[in-house]
Amino acid sequence: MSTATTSSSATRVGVPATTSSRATKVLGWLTLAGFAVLVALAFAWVPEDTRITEQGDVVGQFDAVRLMFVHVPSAILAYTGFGLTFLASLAYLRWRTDWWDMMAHSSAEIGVVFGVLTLVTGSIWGRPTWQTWWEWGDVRQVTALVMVLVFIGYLAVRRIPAEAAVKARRSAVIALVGAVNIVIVNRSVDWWENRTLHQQSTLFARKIRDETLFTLSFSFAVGMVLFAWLLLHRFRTAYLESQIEELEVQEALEERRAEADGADHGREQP
Amino acid sequence: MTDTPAEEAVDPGEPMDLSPRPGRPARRGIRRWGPILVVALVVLVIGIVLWRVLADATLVFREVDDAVERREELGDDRFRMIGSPVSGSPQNITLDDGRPAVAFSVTLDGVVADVVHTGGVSDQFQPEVPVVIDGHWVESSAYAGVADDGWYFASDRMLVKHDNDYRVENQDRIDDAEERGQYE
Repeated sequence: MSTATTSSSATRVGVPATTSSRATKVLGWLTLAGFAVLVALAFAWVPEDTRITEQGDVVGQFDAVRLMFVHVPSAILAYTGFGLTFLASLAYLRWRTDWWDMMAHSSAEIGVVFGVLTLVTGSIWGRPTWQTWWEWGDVRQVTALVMVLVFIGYLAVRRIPAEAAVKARRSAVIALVGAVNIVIVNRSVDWWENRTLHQQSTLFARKIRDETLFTLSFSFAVGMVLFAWLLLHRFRTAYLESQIEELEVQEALEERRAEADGADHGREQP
Repeated sequence: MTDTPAEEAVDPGEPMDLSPRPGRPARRGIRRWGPILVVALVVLVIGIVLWRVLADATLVFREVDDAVERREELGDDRFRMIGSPVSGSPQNITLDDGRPAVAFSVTLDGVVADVVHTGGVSDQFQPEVPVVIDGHWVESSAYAGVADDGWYFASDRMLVKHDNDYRVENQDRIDDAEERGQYE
């Protein structure tokens, strides 16, 4: 994703031929370094989850708890992506500029990637802790699935041929409606406590040991850097795509003019 | 661009028609209704999924105290019950029909119920970690556990609802348990 070459025409008129910049390079290296540290913290520093009951039984999630450092940040980044899509869509409907539309589109794509990652890692975590990969009766799992489906639908609608302004307005409205689900997903474990296997919030309840809390916070930070890196690249790709479309229109017009000039020239010759 | 139909059609002797080309009327219907159909489909699927989850009463977890209190009312109805296994209660048994089962007791808010489970037992089946079991009440003293009240809950599916507590408590006792080989 470091480069996205454009047509020779695009390069010729000064449109950048890459989505990379000094900022993205710094963010990319920070992400890689952050991941290396995160893996070390998660496997070498954070102890497994164990407790001892009053009856002397040792209980807990043991090593399965380490999935928290992928699953929870993925969910936060999915919320961030869809939340940003909501804000950018709102801004688009207010100011009607391509910049906001491209921002909404880019963040929705990244939100879907992290949303799918959240569902997959949640399913993997659910197998050893809940005894099931997927539970259709679980409101957290199902509402999260619905949220991802809504934004996949949003991306699908964007690909239906239409005028750019119509496409942008239509998808902005879908994003506004779909974003309601972010709140539903987040609050579902409290609203329907007896319909979910998913645990309630740990952070707000402050039921977490210091090493786990630090590593989880660090995973949020690494995730946010990754999100920024992806967003910059995706936004610039969207910008280049729009420039290419514009150039293709201009080239088509030039060709038509050249055809017309050639025809006129042919008529002037005896 | 030497072989485009437009260029092939150019006749040097004729004036070129540069008026805008008409659109394709056949695609207008698709353009108009396509997005609406996609959105309608998404809304329909979402509606069905939410209705399936939110309207299905059997998916609600009844807490042990509630399930015990409504035992007569529930009768043979199948439902989900949530409670924490009582420490030391699980024991392997054989049912009258020869099937293997696990008998244990679950508790919540001081109310205890006996359970006979014929499905798979979760790896995370642990004392004080709540389990969600699917089944129904049976009035019988055949499998008396901690409750021993003439009823047991016959379940065939077990899920675990882990809590949100990741604090360490009694680290010294955990270390002792590890040294004794109680867990590794």
